[in-house]
Amino acid sequence: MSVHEITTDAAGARHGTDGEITVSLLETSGRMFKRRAIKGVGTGQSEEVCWLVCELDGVRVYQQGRNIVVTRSDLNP
Amino acid sequence: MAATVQIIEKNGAGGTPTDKTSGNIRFKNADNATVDTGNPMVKPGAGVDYSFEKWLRLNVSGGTYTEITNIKAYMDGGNGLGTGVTLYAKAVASYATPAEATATTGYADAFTYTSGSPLTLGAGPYTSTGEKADHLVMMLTVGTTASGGITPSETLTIGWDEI
Repeated sequence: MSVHEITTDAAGARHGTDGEITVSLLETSGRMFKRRAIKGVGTGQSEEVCWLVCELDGVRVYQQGRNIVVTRSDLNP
Repeated sequence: MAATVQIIEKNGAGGTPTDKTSGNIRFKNADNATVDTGNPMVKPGAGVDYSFEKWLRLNVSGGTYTEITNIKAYMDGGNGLGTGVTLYAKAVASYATPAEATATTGYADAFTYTSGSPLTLGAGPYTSTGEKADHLVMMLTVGTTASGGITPSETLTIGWDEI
């Protein structure tokens, strides 16, 4: 499981990457964060999950690996 | 960089922590983090057998991050523990020595907390290392219709947002 890195450039744009795919938020009014989770707590077979979430004007882009979802919904892993 | 996060089980009067991030959690009739067949739940002749409480909490043990928010817990929505076995959950701020539950008052069926409707443990923001947000307190009941043996495992998820 790779955890995304989020950086902010000199112009205020945020860039989130898992090392292969980069999502860029050019508007300074939006937000970008990692939605992380540990699934299967207590089973001895837990799994860590990290989604990159980019939100602008109520619309969210969720990215994990090659999967991207665009929605207004609040999704959890 | 990212926060290094553990899920700990706390036991005893002092809340001794045990890292359960990738370990098993065994509901039983004793306050300990040991995964064994000692102090098992008993199928009752009438009523239900209550387990001792499990006190779980998110703990940031290291790493680098700015803030953590929106800590929550949820199940997969379907009770796969078997007939007569019910899992309950609630959020509690202050630690208390785990005790054997005597009622379900204050709890909700853990399987009503799903990814679309999770149990909120803390909005944050939280920074630095250490234990964060409310404890997730869980307990299990075994009724007269339960079968014997060790139940299947169920999928508890603890999630958070991080920048």
